[in-house]
Amino acid sequence: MSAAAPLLFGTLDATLQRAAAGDHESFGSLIREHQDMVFSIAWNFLHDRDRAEEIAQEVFLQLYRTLGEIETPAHLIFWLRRVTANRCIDESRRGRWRIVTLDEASDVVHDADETDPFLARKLAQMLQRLPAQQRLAITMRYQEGLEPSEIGAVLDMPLNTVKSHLRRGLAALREWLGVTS
Amino acid sequence: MNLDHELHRVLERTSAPEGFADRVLARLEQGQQPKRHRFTASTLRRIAAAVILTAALGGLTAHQIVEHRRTEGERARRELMTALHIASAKMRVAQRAVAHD
Repeated sequence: MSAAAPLLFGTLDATLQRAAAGDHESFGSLIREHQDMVFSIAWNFLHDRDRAEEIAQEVFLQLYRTLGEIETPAHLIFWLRRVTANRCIDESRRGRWRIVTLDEASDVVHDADETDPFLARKLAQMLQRLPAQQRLAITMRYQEGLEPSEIGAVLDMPLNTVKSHLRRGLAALREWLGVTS
Repeated sequence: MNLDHELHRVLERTSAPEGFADRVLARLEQGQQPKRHRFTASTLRRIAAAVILTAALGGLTAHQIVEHRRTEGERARRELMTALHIASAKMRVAQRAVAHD
C-alpha cells in the first residue's frame, strides 16, 4: 500500500460513504476497524494508557468532522496515521508524556515466549528515551511496517530525514542495549 | 540479539481498551468536543468585556498623557514670560542708569 498516494487505490467504501452521511453505526464500524492501529501508535509513543486513549478518541472525533474529505479507505488509513502522529508530537511538546519505569514497561511486552522478556522490557523502556521524531519513525516502521518513503508521507518529512531518524534511533538503541550489529 | 525482530515484537499493535468505540460514539452523540476547541457564549462575553475594558483604559491613559503634556507646556510658557518680564525690567533699570550717567 502506498499511503503517500491514497487516491490511486481503492474505491469509495460503502461504510465510509454512510459514515460521511452521518450514520453513527457505520462510523462505529470504522472506529472498530482502525482503533487498534490508532491506539497502538499513541500507546507506543506515550506509554500512558489514559493519555493514549484520550488522543485516540480525539483523533476519531476529528475524523468524524472531516469524513467528507476522506476519499478512499487507503486515504482514511493515511489520514489516521498522520493525525495520530501529529497529536503525539503535540503531546510531547506540551511535556505531558512521561518516561516509564521498567515495571510499567512490562505492560507493553506481549507474549515473550521466543525471546528474553527482560531484554524486551528494557527495549520498550529504551524506546521512550528516543527523541519524539525518531520514536515516531521507528513506531511507523516496526508497528505499521511502513517503508521510509511512506513514513515520510505520513510524518510530512523528506525521505533522507526519515532515514536519518531511523538510523540514529536504531544506533542509539543498539548502543544502550549493548548490541554490536 | 536481533534488534529488528525485538522491535517488531515490542511495537506490535495492541488492542484498544474495551468499549473504546462506544465511548467515542457516546462523546459524539453528546456533541462533546475537546474543551480547548470550544468557546461558549459566556467565554465570548468575557473576552468582549476584556477588550472593551482594555480599550477604555487605554483611551483614558492616552487622554491623561495629552492633558499632562498640555499643562506642562502652559507652565513652561508662563515661566518663560516671567523670565522675559524680569529681564526686560532689569534692562530698563540699566538703560536709565546709563542715561543718568
